[in-house]
This record gives sequence, C-alpha cells and structure tokens, in this order.
Amino acid sequence: MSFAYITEEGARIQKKGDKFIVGRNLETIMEIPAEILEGLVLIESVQVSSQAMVALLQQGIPVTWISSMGKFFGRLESTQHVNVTKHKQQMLVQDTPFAIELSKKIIAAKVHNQIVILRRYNRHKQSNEISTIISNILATRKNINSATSKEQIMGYEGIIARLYFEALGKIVSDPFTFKKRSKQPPRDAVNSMLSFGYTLVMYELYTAIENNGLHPYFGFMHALKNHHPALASDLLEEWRAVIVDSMVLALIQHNEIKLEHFQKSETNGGVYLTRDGRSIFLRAYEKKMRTVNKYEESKKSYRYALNKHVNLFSQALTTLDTGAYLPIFIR
Amino acid sequence: MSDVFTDENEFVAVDDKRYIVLIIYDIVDNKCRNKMVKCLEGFGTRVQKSAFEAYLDKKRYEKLVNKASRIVNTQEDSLRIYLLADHTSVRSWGKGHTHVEDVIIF
Repeated sequence: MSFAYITEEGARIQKKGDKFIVGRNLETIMEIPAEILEGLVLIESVQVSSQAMVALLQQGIPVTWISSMGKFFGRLESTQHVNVTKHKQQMLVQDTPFAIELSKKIIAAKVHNQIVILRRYNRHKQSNEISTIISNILATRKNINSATSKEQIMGYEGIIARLYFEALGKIVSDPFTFKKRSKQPPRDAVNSMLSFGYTLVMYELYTAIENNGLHPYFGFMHALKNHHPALASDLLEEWRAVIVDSMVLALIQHNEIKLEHFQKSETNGGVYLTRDGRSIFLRAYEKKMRTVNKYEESKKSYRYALNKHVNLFSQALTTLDTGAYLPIFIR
Repeated sequence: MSDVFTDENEFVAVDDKRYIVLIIYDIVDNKCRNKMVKCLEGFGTRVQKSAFEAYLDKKRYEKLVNKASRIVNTQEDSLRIYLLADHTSVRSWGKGHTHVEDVIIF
C-alpha cells in the first residue's frame, strides 16, 4: 500500500470522491485512491482541505507534519483507539520492577545492535581504535544488569552512546565528518540525517502506540516530560542503530548522498537536507522499512516488526510480564 | 567491501500478499456509471474508458467486490472483476498506464 511524503511547499491535498488529490496552484500532480493510502507525512507548508482531513480521520490514516528541519509539528489524531485501562496501567508501572526490568532488556538490545554495527564494519577495517571502543562498551554494559533504577540504566546508556558515536565518527568516510552527536540544531550533515531518521521512526512508533490504545507520553524508561512522547522514545531505542544508523552509513558509503544535498540554515546555524537530499533520504528510508527483517521468524518487513513490537509491549504491560516483550537483536 | 552497513542480500518483504485486480464494466445508465467510476477510483487507476486496474491485498479486494457489485443493475449492466495471479505482468502502450506507486514522494 502507499505511503506518501509531500515535501513541496505550497502543495495542496484535497478529497474528491474516493480519492485524494495532490496539487499545486491549479494543477493536479497526482491522484491517490483513498483505500490504498496508508500514511501521510507532510513536510513544509502543505495545505490539507478540511474535507480531506475528515476523510483521513475517518479512515484512520495517520498524518504527521514535520518541518524541513526534521522537527515534529503535530499529528492528526482520531480518538477512536484510546483504551483507558491501558493508559492507567502505563501510569501505574512507573518506577516499578516491571519498568526497570523492561528498560534493561531494551537497552541491552540497543547496545548489542550498536556493537554489531561497529563489528560489521571493523571486520574489514580492523581498526584498533574501534576495537578498543568496543571493549569499553562491553565493559560498561556489564553494569547495566545490576542497575537498580532507570536513572542508572540511562546513565550507563549515555556513556555507551558517547563511545558508540565516537566509533561511528571513525567509520564515516570523506567528505563527511562526524565528531559527536549534536541535536537542535544538528551541526553537520551526519547529525542532520540521524536526527531526521530518528524522527521518522519515532512517529511511526507513535502511530502504532496510539493504534494499540496506548498513551505515547507515558513511557517506562525516559523521564516523563511535557511535550515529549516518552513511550515512543523508549520503544525507539532498539531500532536506532538497526534502521537509521546503518542506513545513514550506507548512504554515505555508496555515495548516494553528497555534501551538496545539505544546506546551512541562516536562522539557527544548523545543517539540513535540501529538497533533493530529502527525497533521496526518504526513498532510502522507505526501502529500509520495507526490507525483510531476517532476524525474526516471521520474515516480514521492518515496518511490520516495528508495529508488532508495540503490540508485544502492550501485551507485556497488560500481563505485567516483561517476558512477553522481545526486542530485536541483529547479528 | 560492498555492503558492510546494510544487511547482506536485502530484499523487499511482502507483508500482505497483493494481487493485480482488473475491473471492467458496461453500464448503461449515466448516473450509475458515474457511481461506479467514483467507487473504483477509491481503489485503483482508470486505465481505459471502462477499465480499472488496482493492486490490492485480499481484504481490500473483498471490499472492492462488495462495494462495486452493489452498484450494477444486473438486468442491463455487466461488471467483471479479475483477480490476477502472482506472476501476471501488465504491459501497456499508449495512454492510461500510470499506476499508484507504493512510495510517493513529491
């Protein structure tokens, strides 16, 4: 089925009969049959008629607005999925052994996946620096198991993340450079792609979370903050390296994305994808999401797995059994 | 070292099996025909004056059959819906060959 990303400033989406029409000025650019549209991501100032909005709501098609800087603006949400029992349970499990146990499980998977990405690369490169970083990560990882609070878990996770990104910086090849993570604004092209990629996955998770009747803002690991969908952040952790980091490295390695696909913002000094760059990035992202996830038995796509994991979380939460949740471990 | 960052041998997953569906009709009454066109536009692309193509999973195929079959007047009209097998290929010449892509980036 179809996922549409509309990135053209001034584009307009209307509903005519049983199809959505994407146009600009008075010109029709494309027609999308309503039945086959599965998701809509709008970047920049795209207009949506209120008739189209109602239809999108009725059909439960998720719509996400993102700025050209990859910042999330909002979602079109229908209230049909809200399950108050699950919401209540989400609030009750805060800081319980269930929350801590599940956090450990997810961070263990995340760190494992990060190490796999580094090792895959280092098989060819045989860099001592990277090998040293990997051993440091392994040494830090041991502490996670004995952690007793989510703050401790997140603390170790932070140390590992810094080590991991340091190693990633040694992998990124010319003319790209990457020293450390910078967000809001991203200071270089690599950070810009990482942030944009995480945002896209995060809002796919956000949608899946809502479709499962769960509340995106009540997480179990990330600290609860206003305006921050902590549960989406929690469930994103295991996927970051698997989906986004590997894809960004591949885009650079294969010369699919070039420095000319980025521009510096005059307002905040951040570095962002140009319209062409965004198009290349989105295509690569969609390809990745549709790729067979060979690490799980079902042999379905990453997008399918992402949704399934949210469903597993929902089961784990309802039964208070962390065993029901199985994070992804790549090889 | 061609591909150390992506999983070796990546290929696209088929989460839900999908079929090429061909819908042709002969409808006498204008009002009724317009209704059919509107209904079919919700599922696929018009490839000829009274022929539509769609690429659907089973669930949506059933929905299409259900909706479209109610529109025809069985006394004077004709509606035929073909569910084509996996390896069907569609080759086309001339107008009306556009189909809706899975990934739309504009």
